[in-house]
Amino acid sequence: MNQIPILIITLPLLLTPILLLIRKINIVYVLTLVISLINIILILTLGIEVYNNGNIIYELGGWPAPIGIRLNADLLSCYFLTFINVMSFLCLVSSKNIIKHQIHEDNLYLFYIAWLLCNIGFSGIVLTDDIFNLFVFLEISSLSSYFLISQANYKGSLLAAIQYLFIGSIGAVFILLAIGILYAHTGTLNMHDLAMKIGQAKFSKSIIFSLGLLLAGIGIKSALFPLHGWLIKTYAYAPSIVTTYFSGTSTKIGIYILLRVFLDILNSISPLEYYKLAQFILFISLLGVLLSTFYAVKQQEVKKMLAYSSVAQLGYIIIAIMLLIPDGLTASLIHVVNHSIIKTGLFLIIAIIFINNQNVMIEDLSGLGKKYPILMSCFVVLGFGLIGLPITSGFISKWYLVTAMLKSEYWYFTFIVLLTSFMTLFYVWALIEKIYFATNNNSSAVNNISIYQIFCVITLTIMTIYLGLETSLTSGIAQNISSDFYRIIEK
Amino acid sequence: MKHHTIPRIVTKLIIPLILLFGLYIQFHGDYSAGGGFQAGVIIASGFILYNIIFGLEVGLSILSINMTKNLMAIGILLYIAVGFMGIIQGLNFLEYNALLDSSKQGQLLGIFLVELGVGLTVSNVMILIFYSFNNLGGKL
Repeated sequence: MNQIPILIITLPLLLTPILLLIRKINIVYVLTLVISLINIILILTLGIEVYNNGNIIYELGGWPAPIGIRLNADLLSCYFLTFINVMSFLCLVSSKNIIKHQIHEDNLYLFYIAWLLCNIGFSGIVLTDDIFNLFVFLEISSLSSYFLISQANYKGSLLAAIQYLFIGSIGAVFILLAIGILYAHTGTLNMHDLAMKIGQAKFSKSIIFSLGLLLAGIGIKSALFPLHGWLIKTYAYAPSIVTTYFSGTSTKIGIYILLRVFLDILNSISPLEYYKLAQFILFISLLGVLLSTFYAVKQQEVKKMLAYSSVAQLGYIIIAIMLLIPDGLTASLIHVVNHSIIKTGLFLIIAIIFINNQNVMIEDLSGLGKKYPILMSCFVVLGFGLIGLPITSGFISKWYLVTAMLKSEYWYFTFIVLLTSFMTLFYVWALIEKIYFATNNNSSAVNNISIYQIFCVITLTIMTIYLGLETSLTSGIAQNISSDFYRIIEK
Repeated sequence: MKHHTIPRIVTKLIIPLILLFGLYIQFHGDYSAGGGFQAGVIIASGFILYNIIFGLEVGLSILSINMTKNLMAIGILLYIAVGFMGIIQGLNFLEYNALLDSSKQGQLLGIFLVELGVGLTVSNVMILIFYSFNNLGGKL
């Protein structure tokens, strides 16, 4: 039982070199699926254990805390781990037919190895208790994601990957420099230790500088509004299944780092209140939500539309965090999971139906309602979830967000949130209108859709509806986490 | 490079020294500056120098592309296998005491094997990067 945190990271890591030796795509694919499934089982056991008995700490090599490296599985880690690995598994299951058309077949086994490494990076970021290891895992996941993005045989893929590489490296260097400054001030890299010592360290300008660097780095990783440029390009040019995977996981990891660093490690110096940082991010994110919703309404390309909508939804998540009240944190955590499920589902349907197209225009969806009745009804349900209509999980997260905003001192911004939610209706409706009410049928959509892919889409849709009706799962855990966080802050 | 006598002779003289220095860095990494990463790069640089002077065909006949990939994987496997030795014996991941009866010797053996794995992987990655600069990696 106490070995589970390390197994979640090392079992896939043990598999990757073996896959590199095997190189037979079918075996590689099956083994990848098996290890992902084992990982999900391990994570669920870990989650239940942590929920009942509090967090589990694992010391690597048996060295105790400030010297050695630790893993720390608390409720927040398990919450993120669960949905990230479930999304990864569902994308892997439905990836087989899709990537055959988009990736050179000699590279297929490397594609799955890079996918596993990317997921190891995400799991590692979430589990680690060492701030430098957080950076290392961030680099592991980023490097393999550059590879994943560059593999599509579209025209702009390499360029998009290179751009993401430059921007992502700059973000990583910012984070590394900030960690270096914090290390110079406190002499420790362990998160718990750092959290204690940072309060006693003399507060100087260099700490403020490191806060700025951290914010910029994390902002790039989580596509905070003015730094979101890479996300649109990446989502449009990556292999469509990679887009699906990243839409549910990659930016959410940025949110996790934001929470962990600013609200947990550094909260004894309350970094978000310096120079009204929280207020500043709040305003910027509101602007971001407005603008990216406008852009999404204007887009003719479905993938870019959904990418802009992702930026807007991430804006909601960050606004909710920056309210700096427990309810806000709860709302953001609920929305992280709900948005991840909804957006993965929407991208997955697009990826399944349009295997060969790089640009999926709105017109391409015309008349698909008759051709794929099951998939398209799922699409409509997920679209309603994006808008936030009742009985979908989107409604729950909007509800919590609006209640949290009304409780905070920024109640007057509720108006903007409601306005943008209403505007979401425009672009979702533009898609639904084409699907059901346009008649001309085109041939670019494919016919051979495997039963596994439909199973994945239906699973995601059922999750959306289930989390919309039965809220105790997400909101219960989210409330636990946020009350934990704010108890720490009050101390 | 057949007619360039001086580079050929100097390379022949210098490569053993580079490899020896690489091995020194490799084996002294646990108690002085160095370690598997640096040693791997140094050893790979010796091999790459040999390739530049005597031609890629000779280099490839010593170490083919598939072989570099396999050695890369074996290096990581060595590292993780050492880590898992601890878990198998009921201790934590990477706990070197599990390797031998005496814990001091276990620590020494553990750090040696781990650094060896790192060195193997890093040197082969460097060589593979060099190959792919020559378009030999092809579809990597």
